[in-house]
Amino acid sequence: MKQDIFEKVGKRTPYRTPDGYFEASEQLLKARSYRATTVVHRTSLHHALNWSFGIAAAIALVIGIFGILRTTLPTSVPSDSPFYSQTVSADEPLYSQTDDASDDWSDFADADIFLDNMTW
Amino acid sequence: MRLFRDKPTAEELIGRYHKPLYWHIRRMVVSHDDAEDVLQETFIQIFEHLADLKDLSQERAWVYRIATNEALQWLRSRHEFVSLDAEDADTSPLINTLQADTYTDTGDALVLLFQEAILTLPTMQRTVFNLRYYDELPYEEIAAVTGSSVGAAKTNYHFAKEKISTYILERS
Repeated sequence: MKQDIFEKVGKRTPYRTPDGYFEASEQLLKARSYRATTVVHRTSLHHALNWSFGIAAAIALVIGIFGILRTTLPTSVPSDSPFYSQTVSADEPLYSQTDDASDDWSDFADADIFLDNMTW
Repeated sequence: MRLFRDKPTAEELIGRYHKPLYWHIRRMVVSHDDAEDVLQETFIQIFEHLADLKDLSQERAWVYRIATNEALQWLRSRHEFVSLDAEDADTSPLINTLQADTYTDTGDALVLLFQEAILTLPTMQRTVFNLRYYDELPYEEIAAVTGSSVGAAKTNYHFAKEKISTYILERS
């Protein structure tokens, strides 16, 4: 008897829909899906761009720091240079050099072929 | 040749689940107008959280879970329902809605009585029964939808059938 009830009713329900409901509803859902996925895509793209800019800025900062350090750190003096033992940095003020060091610089400047040929 | 299953597009999901989800929601909320609103909200949630779907083999359980949660949330907002665990949820407003809804066919008394019997079930049993009887979901998917176990789903379905039979036999 119990099983008869389920066999008699089957999958039938008393629920009905307006005519053409599913077609109209499907169109509306597709229109909403386009808007929703566009917003999601734009949001994802926005996040991706933010990350890209951040990474690019970080790389630029690192390159900039290295660049600054390269120009400020003392340049290495070749071992065969007469100034090797003195380890004079390129930006050491002249007044802090010894007289002998200054004389050496002057002699070096006098021997410089480019300076010698230039007319001011 | 497709070697890997791609994530479904929104249009594919609409094509596959538009009608099944409508009927599942309708059986939960009873009214056509309410089912329409809940269905729209369900698909909005599906589109917005599509990226969260990692296991494509669980696609059907995933969308049904969203639909069930949206329907339960709607019912909760109408104070007509408490939770899936509620044993004594007051379903009389739903029966009133069933009889009063414009898009309810009251012609077949047995079919109408059958739905009334379902509406008197506790929410978990009602949800499990609908998913098994009408949507023919396997118990594993029903367990995933309702957040319970396969054993609990089978038990709920068995007791639901017993209660429906008793309800109808007492009134017919």
